[in-house]
Amino acid sequence: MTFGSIAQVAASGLHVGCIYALAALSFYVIHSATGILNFVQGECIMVSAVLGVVLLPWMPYPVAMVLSIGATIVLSLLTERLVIRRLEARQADLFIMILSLLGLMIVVRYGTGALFGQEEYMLPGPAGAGVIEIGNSVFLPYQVILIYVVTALTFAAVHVLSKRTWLGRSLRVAAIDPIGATLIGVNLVRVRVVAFGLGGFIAAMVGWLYAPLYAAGYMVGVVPGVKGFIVMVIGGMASPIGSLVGGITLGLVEVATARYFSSLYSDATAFVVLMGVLFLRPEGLIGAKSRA
Amino acid sequence: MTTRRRFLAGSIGYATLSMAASLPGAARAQTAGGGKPIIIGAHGDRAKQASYYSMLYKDAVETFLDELNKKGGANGRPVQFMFEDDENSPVVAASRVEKLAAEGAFYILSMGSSATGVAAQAKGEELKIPIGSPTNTITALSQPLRHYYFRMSIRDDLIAAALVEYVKKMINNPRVGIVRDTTETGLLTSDSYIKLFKDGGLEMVSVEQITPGSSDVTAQALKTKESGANIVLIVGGSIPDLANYVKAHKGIRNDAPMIGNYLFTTAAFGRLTGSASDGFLFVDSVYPERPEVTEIMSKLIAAKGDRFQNNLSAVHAWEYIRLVLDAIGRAGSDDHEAIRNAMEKTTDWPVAIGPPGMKLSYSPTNHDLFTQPQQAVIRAYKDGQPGPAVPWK
Repeated sequence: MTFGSIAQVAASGLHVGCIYALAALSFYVIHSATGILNFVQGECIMVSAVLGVVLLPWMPYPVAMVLSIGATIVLSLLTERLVIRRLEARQADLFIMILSLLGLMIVVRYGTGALFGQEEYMLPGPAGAGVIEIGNSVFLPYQVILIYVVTALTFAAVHVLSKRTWLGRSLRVAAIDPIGATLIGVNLVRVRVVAFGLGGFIAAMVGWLYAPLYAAGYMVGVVPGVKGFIVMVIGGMASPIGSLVGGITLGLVEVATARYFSSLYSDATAFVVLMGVLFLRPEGLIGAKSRA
Repeated sequence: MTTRRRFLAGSIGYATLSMAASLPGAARAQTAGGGKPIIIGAHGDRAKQASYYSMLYKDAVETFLDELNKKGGANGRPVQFMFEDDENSPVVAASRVEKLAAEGAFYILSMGSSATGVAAQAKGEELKIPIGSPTNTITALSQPLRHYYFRMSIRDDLIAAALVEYVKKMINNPRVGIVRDTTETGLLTSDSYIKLFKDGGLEMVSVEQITPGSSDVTAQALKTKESGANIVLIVGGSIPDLANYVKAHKGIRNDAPMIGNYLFTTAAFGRLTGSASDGFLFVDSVYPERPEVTEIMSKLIAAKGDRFQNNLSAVHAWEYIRLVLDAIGRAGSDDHEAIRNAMEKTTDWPVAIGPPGMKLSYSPTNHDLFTQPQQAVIRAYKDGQPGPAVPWK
């Protein structure tokens, strides 16, 4: 176990963890304001990446990026408008809502496959294809450095939004006590629209960060979607910091398992960590205490 | 009430349109000459992980039948093609074979993954209906010999034997590292390759597994390099995961050559790896320079577009349906047993698969086109594209 190998595990684990953390944050911002676990988040990541591939040949890179992120936000808002709001108006059971969202997830996934084809494509990364090499064992693509920066900025922005702005406080109050929030003038519909819009925006960004290092295709939202959800549970649903801590923990554990133990078990570690956390700290690594 | 009625009307309209759209074979059959239609059934994956090649083969078969039916069909009879979605599930695949048999299919094409192919083959054997795959490679499909199953692709044991022979000629004292993904295909084939490579006298030094969906597999690439492997075999079914390893392997400057089976003929592999796949050697079963191959590919690209570009495995589907219809013509009967017997009696049938001049001969003891490792076509990637056949050294 050399310094070089430890540094590479840290760099790789941090990169994988940042992707998981951002995916978890996209779940968190919706759940924290509405109590809804939007299972379509993984598909939002995928749609953003696939639209990027579809649009890039026809327009400049920044325009394609903005349009694909915009379209993904619209998808997220439509989920709220056409599924969640209608079901809530009918006072549908929670299980009905979960089933509807799972159904929508499948429709979006396979609908994208039917529309754009089942093969995977390369999405060029916003940071280019260069690599910084330190010694013979640490390799840092520019795209990974961009992932670190965007993750730090996004979490800082969400923190400021939720603690320092009226909108952020409205989001938190609406989740804790919707009736009380209405009495003090919080518009619950507006809060929900903002939460879904923000969740869609973060998921769309993940698409542009993750796909250039993996692939763009109709199935690529599955892993970040599942891992994002696991990370939100591991980190705890009380604050966005939980998503960050959970994501980086899982990323580091996965990569370290592959490097120092056996890659045959690295995928299973996500579920072992999840079970361990649920058993020892059901409220997550950053639990309710930090919220107070 | 109005909304409900509109929804109902819309649903009926949508269902009607969907049914019309899902019967391309029936529509095509009407353009051919008279006579009772020849019904060909097929199962494959319409939307899941195996769909990228299933749908390619479906389109290749449909293009062939379009052309045939326009010319009057097979021996003056229209050919009707029925495709069933197996959802990439062995259980569903078996039920689809049962359904196709009940609907009167003369022959069933197995166009999904190897795992669904195994289930479909067992069901075909049980129902005594001739069945076969244009591209499935898993050895157990035809070894030991199955009475109703006929194969046109190269088996895994022959691919492994071809790789062993080629590696021994290419490298002194080869030490093999294996990198696999977590798909069923990856786990099954890597175990079988490890055994076949060991039997072939190669030293196996490492087995690494790619975390599915991971955007960073540097850990696996570094471990493979540190194991001292001087050649790395890549196996699996998830092209993005495998392509990611190839990029990491080149990224950490590991000079050990990489080899693979014919999964890597898939165009997505070259697209995702770019120049990182340069020099990647893989076993194929189609010789790209053969004029017959070029002609088939031109027809497919003209009919279905650029997604056929570099996807030479579609030639298998084209040639397989051509063979089946030829056998049905030779059988002189629509009876399953007669068609099976005609398939088995196929001798010296010129086929566009394999090296130039290859001819297909089945027999009561052999239902495989490929019988020798040397019939395999070795190819190498260049500039992110699968290159021409590499001569056996």
